[in-house]
Amino acid sequence: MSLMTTSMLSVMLAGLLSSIAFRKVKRLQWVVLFAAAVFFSYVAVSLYGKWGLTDSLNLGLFTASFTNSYIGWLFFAFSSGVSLIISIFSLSFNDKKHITGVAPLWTVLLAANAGIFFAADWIAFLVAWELMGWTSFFIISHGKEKSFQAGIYYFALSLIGTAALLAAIFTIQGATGTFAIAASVKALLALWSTKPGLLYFIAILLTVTFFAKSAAGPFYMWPAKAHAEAPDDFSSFLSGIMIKYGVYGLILAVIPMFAEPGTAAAAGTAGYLGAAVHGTPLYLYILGWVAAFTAVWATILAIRENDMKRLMAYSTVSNIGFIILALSVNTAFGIAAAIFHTFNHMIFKGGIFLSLASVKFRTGEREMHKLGGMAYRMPIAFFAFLLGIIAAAGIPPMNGFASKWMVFQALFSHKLLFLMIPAFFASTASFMYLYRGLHSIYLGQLSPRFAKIKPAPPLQSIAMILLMVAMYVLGGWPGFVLQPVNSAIANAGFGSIQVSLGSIVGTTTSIHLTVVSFVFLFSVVGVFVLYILGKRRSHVEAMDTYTAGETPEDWGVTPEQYHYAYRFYEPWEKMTDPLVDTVSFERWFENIRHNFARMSRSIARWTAMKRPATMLAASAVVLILILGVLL
Amino acid sequence: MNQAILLLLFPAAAALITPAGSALSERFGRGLALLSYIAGIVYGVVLYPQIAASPASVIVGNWKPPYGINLFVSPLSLGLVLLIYCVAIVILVSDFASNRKRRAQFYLLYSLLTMASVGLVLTADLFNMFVFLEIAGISTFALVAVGREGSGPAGSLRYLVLAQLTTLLMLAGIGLVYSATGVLNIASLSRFAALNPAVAFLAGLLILLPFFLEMKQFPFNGWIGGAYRGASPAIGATMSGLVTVSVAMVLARLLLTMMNTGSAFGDATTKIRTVVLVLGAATVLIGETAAFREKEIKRVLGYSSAGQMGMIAIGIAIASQSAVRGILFLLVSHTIAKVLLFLVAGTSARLSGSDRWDEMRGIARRFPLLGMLFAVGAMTLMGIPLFSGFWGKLDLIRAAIASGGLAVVGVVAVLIATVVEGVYFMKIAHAFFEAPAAAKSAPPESTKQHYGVAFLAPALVLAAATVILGVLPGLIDPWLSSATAELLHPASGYAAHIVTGGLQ
Amino acid sequence: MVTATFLLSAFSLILVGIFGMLTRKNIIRILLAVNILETGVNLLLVSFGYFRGGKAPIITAPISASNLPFVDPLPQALVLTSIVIGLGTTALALAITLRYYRRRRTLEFEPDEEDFASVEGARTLMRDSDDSTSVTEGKDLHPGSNVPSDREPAGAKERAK
Repeated sequence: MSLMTTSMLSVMLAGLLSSIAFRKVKRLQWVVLFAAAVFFSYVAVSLYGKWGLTDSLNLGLFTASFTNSYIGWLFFAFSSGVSLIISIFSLSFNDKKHITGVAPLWTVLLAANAGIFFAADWIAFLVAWELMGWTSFFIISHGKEKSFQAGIYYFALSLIGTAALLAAIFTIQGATGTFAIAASVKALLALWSTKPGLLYFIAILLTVTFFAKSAAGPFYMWPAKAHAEAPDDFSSFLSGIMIKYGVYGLILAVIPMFAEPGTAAAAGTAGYLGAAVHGTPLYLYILGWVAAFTAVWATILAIRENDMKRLMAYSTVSNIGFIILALSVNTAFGIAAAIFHTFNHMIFKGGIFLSLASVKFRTGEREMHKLGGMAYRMPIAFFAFLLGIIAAAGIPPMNGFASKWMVFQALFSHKLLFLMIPAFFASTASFMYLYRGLHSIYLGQLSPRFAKIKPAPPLQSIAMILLMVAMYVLGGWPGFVLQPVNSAIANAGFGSIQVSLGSIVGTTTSIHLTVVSFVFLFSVVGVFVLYILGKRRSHVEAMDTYTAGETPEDWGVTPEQYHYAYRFYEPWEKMTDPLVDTVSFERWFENIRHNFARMSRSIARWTAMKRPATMLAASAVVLILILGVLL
Repeated sequence: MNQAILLLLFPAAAALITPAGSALSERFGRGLALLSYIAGIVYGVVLYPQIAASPASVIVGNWKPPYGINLFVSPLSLGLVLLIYCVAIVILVSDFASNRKRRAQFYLLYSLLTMASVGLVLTADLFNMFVFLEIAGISTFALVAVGREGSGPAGSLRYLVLAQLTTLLMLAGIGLVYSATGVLNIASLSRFAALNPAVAFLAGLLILLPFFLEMKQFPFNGWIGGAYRGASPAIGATMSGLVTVSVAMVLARLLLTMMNTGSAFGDATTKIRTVVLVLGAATVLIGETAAFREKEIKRVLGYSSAGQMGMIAIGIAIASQSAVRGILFLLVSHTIAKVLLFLVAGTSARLSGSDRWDEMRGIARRFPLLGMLFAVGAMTLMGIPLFSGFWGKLDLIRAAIASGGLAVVGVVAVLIATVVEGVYFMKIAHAFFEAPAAAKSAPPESTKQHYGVAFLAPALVLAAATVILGVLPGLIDPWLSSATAELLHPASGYAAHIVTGGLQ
Repeated sequence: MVTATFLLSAFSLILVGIFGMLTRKNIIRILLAVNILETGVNLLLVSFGYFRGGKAPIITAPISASNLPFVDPLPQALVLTSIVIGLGTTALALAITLRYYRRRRTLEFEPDEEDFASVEGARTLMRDSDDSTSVTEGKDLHPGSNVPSDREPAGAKERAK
């Protein structure tokens, strides 16, 4: 048994044991989580280079097999790294006042995380997938009524995804005769000439599964509910890592199914033989439009939000739209862009959510208009958030810029100009809600209620600093991530791109990000130097500039009331209300659930009445008798 | 090998001696019942290696089949008999915790029910099956009727009337079969020359009717609500856990072994299996949908059983190797999970004073173990990995997709049902774990309530069983293989072992 | 043919029994119908074994050509068993009915209050609205418009808590 399986099993066991052994001392459970994250990071480091290592676990009825694949390792390594940083944060976050009992579940979830990325056959993948599903459900709905509503929504969509996955797995097995993931995808490629209908069916099933998990397409609504209610440190894990499982699934199974003839991925088979738009397979093109819709729609909804976690959740959905858009182009560049943006998003969204968690930790508030001026009291959280939104908006020198640039270049490469329009819209409009978050929480007026709060605790600060550093470094030296990504996708058969430590060669041009990064750095440094060298200045309270030196308390007005944050975008809300009303998929799901409940009531009522039951049974009997006589 | 009839005699003796012994001591009834089941288990375990090597046919009364009655003791039937005994012990032990004063008659009826279930599993004769079915029915009606005041008799009567209808029609079907073939022995029928297809179809369906009812198949499931409300949790567990083992096994035996293309039922087999498949799919959907909005926890579990039995019916109707393995696994895991859930439901009802789960909110905060046990049972039924139900469902879905055609409808039904049952089970689990808002649902703290070992020990055993099976499904693999082979290939296994004398 | 008569009568009895079970509300009448059904099935069984000219299957002398043919004794054995089972079931059913009567004071099958109470909203099927456990928290179909109850400018009340 190699490190893959031993680590998974031992971490799972540790999680289960810690729930029993450390029931009384819950803080120790968080230490176990931290240890598990450290262990997995170590596993990631030691597995680097050992490509193709396989392992199996005999469970009697069947054998689960695992493999250290190129792309799987990438995802595993990144998720382990980010989990480690989050677990450091959690150690400090879960003090007596804020502690939740979800650590053991989270530990098992880490093991499931590893299982998903290492799985080499569909059944192992399914087991890990389901394990991830129910542990995350219990974490999200940790005991409160409101959390439960959010949790059950997530769980129901997850179950739909699982049902689709089950159907897909067995259809694949029926068509190709194997459960091994890589082998079955290869075998499916060979069927394009004979059974395209079946392949589209499988693709649709898998798409449903992975879209449901990644909140793309019609499933966009669950992150907002789930993030809002989940424990604050878990929100960063949810948004950073868990949502990406769908992306991984798409890269694993759906994209390879559409490999173009002649590429390495299609070696040995005929490859995709169907219709294509500018060289992109039609199915993926449609998927791209769905992703673009997701990006735009989530942006619109994010701007309407008042709750900062919900807002950031919609931002995540929007970024997922971006990622899938890049994937759908089906070139090496597109896939590299998608993976790069995935990892960048893990980092900057993780940073944003951790910063929000810090603020909530100190103030207990979650609604943005009730905060304000936090930058003065919690500078590290402020910087983390600031750099995070700069990255999220795709502004250099942060990492978000590089990956967004790549996404647009990927769209250029296949001349998908119409798709660029919603992508640009989503990207630029994102600044509306990102800046709003910054302003409402960190800038503006500091409420007297929070005048004395302490800055973030040291461990939390360390976690945030690590992420900030990562954002900057990856922004200027993308090669750290892109070069491994490049070799991974090349080895996986998707082709390769030209990238060096500091520069990327795109479709229309190339960009030297280190230079860009230094330009920004020197500009900032330059301005700062000018500031220091400039004339003496005195510090003026923000209130004084607002009130021109008057004392607003004389009029019964408090500083808080000067903080313009409440319903910041009310005009936008009014403008988009009719649109949101019409397009809301939420209403669709709610209708389904409602009608289902009605059906259930009718059936239950039917069985509560004695006569119809007997009548129905007897008529069934008579029917059978008649059938028997006739047939 | 005639000693194998002891498997039937232990509970029968317990039933007969109990009234007399109870005159001496109050506790006599339950002690004797437990003793007889333990004796049965011990005997069965000792017998198992011998049976695994070569199954045996026990001829009763020295009349050879097909005129005489014989019991067939094989790994499949012996394994299920042991399961029945274990479940009976678990339920009775947990019933001690319910603080009900059980009279001797309760144990008498319970032993009768156990004996009848064991008999159903072991017997190889159609009419004998009918008799055991009636005995099981009578004991169940009586046990349900002594449940809650008012609801007990009502639920029992409705169940009784429906059951009588179907059982009598089964008898008519048996008569039809006899008049056409002259034999009543299952093994003989499985090798008999084919009958007129119309007669075969009619007779086959008639014979299966009471088993449709017992397995809660649509449209025969109108009795579930009343019966489960009226029954005490222990009896609910019995109906869902103990009786279902025997009736599911009988349905499999009849539909797979007795009715196959080489048998007296010939080509009607495919038609009958189609009917079962369609009914099964409908049951799955209807059962789970009915459970969705139900507030009384015992009824939720009853409807959920209907859904699970629907899945088992679908698997039996598909009749492939994977399908039969899947449903056997499902049967075992369902039994464990359902009994566990009923145990938890009963204890929760007792502790919170209500039968409705929306009035049990927060009970898992006071008793975390209850909540976790419920979650374990629920996740087993939902088919979530790490728990035993997963493997059964996996095999079933794989078999259904592989067999194609109408079975795909079954798959869709099962997948939809999985989503639905996931939602309602999690709703209930969450209600248990919910932090109580104010003192809205705070129960009277004056009585220091708790559950005792009588509940805890069996529940933990069951929970452990489902987790172990979930993580190491290979443990029962040999049993599954031999059981599947026996059901699907009567010519080589079942029929070969039953010595048929007399006229053919 | 004699056998046809028997079969026909048996079939009619069965149908009468089923009809009775379907249409009667009074429990005793339903139980009577079950008994008729039972008799019908028993008759059916016996008549399967019967044929014209058959003798009663009792061996009083060594078997010879004059003794044969017997009617089939097996269905008669089955029917004996079935009659006894029917007896037991009817007795049990009557006992349960007695208990039912004592509680409900009626011999009719009626759904009782509890049947409806346990199913949320079963009676209000027509007006299905008050879903307190609606998934979209309070019909929040306008995501993001979390409107606080008081809408003063700049949310003064909200903030000056």
